[in-house]
Amino acid sequence: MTRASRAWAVSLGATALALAGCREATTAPGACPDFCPPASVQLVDTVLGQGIVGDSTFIGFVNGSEAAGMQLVNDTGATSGVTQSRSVIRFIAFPDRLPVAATDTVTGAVVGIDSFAVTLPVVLRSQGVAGLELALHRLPADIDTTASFASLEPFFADSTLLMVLPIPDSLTADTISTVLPDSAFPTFDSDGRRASIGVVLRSPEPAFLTLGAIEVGNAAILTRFARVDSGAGEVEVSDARQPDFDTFVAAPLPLPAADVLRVGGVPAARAVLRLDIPSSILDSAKIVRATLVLVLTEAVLGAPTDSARILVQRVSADVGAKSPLVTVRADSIPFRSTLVTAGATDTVRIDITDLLTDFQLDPERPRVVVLRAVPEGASFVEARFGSTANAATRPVLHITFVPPVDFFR
Amino acid sequence: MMRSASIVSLLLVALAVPTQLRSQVSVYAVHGIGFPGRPLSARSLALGGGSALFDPASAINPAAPIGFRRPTAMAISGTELRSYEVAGVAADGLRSTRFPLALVGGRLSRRMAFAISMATYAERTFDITASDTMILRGTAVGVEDRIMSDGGIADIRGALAWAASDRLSVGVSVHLLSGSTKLEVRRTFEDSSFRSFRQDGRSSFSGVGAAVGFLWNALPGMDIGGAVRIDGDLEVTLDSVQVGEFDLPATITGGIQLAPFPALRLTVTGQWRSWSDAAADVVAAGTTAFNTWEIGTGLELGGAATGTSRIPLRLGFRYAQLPFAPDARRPRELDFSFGTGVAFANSRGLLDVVVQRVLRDGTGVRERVWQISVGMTVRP
Repeated sequence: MTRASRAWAVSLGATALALAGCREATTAPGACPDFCPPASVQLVDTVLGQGIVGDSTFIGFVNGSEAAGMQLVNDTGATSGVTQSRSVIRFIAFPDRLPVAATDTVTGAVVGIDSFAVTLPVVLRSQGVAGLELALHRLPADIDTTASFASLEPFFADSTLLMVLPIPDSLTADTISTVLPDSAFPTFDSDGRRASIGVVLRSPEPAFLTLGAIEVGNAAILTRFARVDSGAGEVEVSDARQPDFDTFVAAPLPLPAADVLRVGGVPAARAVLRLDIPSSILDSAKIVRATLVLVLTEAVLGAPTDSARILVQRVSADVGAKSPLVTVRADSIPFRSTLVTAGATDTVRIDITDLLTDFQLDPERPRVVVLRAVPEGASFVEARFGSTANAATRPVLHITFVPPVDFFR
Repeated sequence: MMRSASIVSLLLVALAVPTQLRSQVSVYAVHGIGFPGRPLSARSLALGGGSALFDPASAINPAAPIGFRRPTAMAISGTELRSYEVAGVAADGLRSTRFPLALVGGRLSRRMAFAISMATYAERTFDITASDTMILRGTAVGVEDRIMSDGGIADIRGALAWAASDRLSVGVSVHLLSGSTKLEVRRTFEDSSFRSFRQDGRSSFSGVGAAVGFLWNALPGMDIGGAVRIDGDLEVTLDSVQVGEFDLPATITGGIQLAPFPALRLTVTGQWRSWSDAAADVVAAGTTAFNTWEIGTGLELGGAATGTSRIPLRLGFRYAQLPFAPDARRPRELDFSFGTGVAFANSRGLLDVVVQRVLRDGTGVRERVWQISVGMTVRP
């Protein structure tokens, strides 16, 4: 090895040795407080009794005819506040002429009807209750949104019963169908080939069942099996119609006291809350957990065993009842809501940490939140909370936060 | 070729210097302004700091650069393995690397020399974890905190030495203290319904200082040196907002170097620092500041400069008091060192290696450190 080579070897060896130690292992357990840095994390857990300074209830955001489902309830014991509800479905008028063949545009007059078929989408049902049945009644063909539980009472008599449809105990979410005779709608032609039906739930014990609705494209279907004059004789043809109107009705629930906030139910109610959070928290603290605490003034109303989520949403502008809500992604709903079950009486706690963090990110955002039920208007589940007018049951904010760490105390 | 090798090697080391490595130098680094650095060359480290006043490659005595015979560039790298026990908490296998000193210097004329250096004034790097259980909302919740600081305070020095006579040299230096630390505090909760907490910050430090020093060849084979350094206040800003000031200490250093035979050098240096000036500035953090004494002594046998052997043998011992502690008990440090070096490329390159065993005790702490430092010097 020449002297030059040795010089290179020594130099590079030294460099390697100098850099060899760059693999670090430095994280060490602290022996606090003596040998921990003074920059410690202080946690403050506080209940802001005056954190909600204003609240209101607004009703009618989603009516039964606008809901994503139609809930049928049978609770003759009235343990839930809703004794019975009924579904009303009005189908689109059928035409008086039909194509004589599926591959032809030539139409022929409908000369007779053999039968009808009704298909109903079941989207939810009580679990653990066997022997459910759906009773189908004939309703006036021109029924509309003015129909109420009381006004429909005469049409759910034995004389209007079309069919009792048993629900398989194993069915949870599926469609069920039944065939009706041609006599099911005796005034079909005079009604302009329109038909309406009412559906009521029968069960040996309190239960509920939810049917799909046209609002979500999962509605009932009425199929007509007709005979058409093809010119060369009669041919059998069928056609189907969806509803142009569906809703569900129940006897109104008892009205609560005036100082109560209502969330959910049918028509859907929402509660608007105005928050007042100290600037010492919003401006500089890190909120690690914030909970909206709501005290129920009575057991949650609704169909037996039914439940709904109480969702808290921020508004993008504060214009009262019509304040536009900031959309919450579907996968975020579980984190901004809490599940309430009919009959529950426990205090409701909803995590609103993300909401308060949003307020911190943009101080100009209206510090107003809206409580609403999910699904909204499709379930009778209704929670009634104490409002700010009632000191004993008013909503409060429970906030856990970390004040700014003083690195150089 | 040999000069190229030396320069390339030095450049590679120098490239590593700006690297921000996370390295807690001591469990005591969480207190005060941090753990004081030692602006010593590998040779002086091996001699227990005893030769610090007489070593032109160390940044203690502004008169020392008069010892440069050629333009010189030097950098040192230190790797340590550390363990400690305190209050039932034990940590082992901690490993870190630092680059505590880089220096260039040389002669300006026959009677004048200079040195510019950048050294660690105080190390403020730590990465501490702590676990606890708290009662939150009526439930026991486990929490884990992690507090990190990455950085330190650098001492940038410009020194000018003048040979008043063949036996007396004097020097003066100015010091700019500058640095920053990246700070981070985290808390995580075992209960995921509590969001984790994290706060970041960046602190900056600035200050100035000045020093004077001398070297006196009192007798043949006996040198005496001394230096006095005064530093002002260290201003601390956090995210551009001034959050505090620390009174920095005055430093008085004196030492003697004996060379009874060409192949033997004995050195002793003592130093006093008035760290208690900062007592009022650190008491709010639960820290006590002490004035400190330290004394280092070393023995060097052989070496290329003596003409007796190419490979020197260096032994050193140092006792030092530490300036910051969590209570009134003053911690101390014992440092046993062994080193050697080799000259190559016609003595234009020097490679010095030192192994230190450091024992720190006090305030319930038992800290043990193995430290290996490598110094690379190029004299083109």
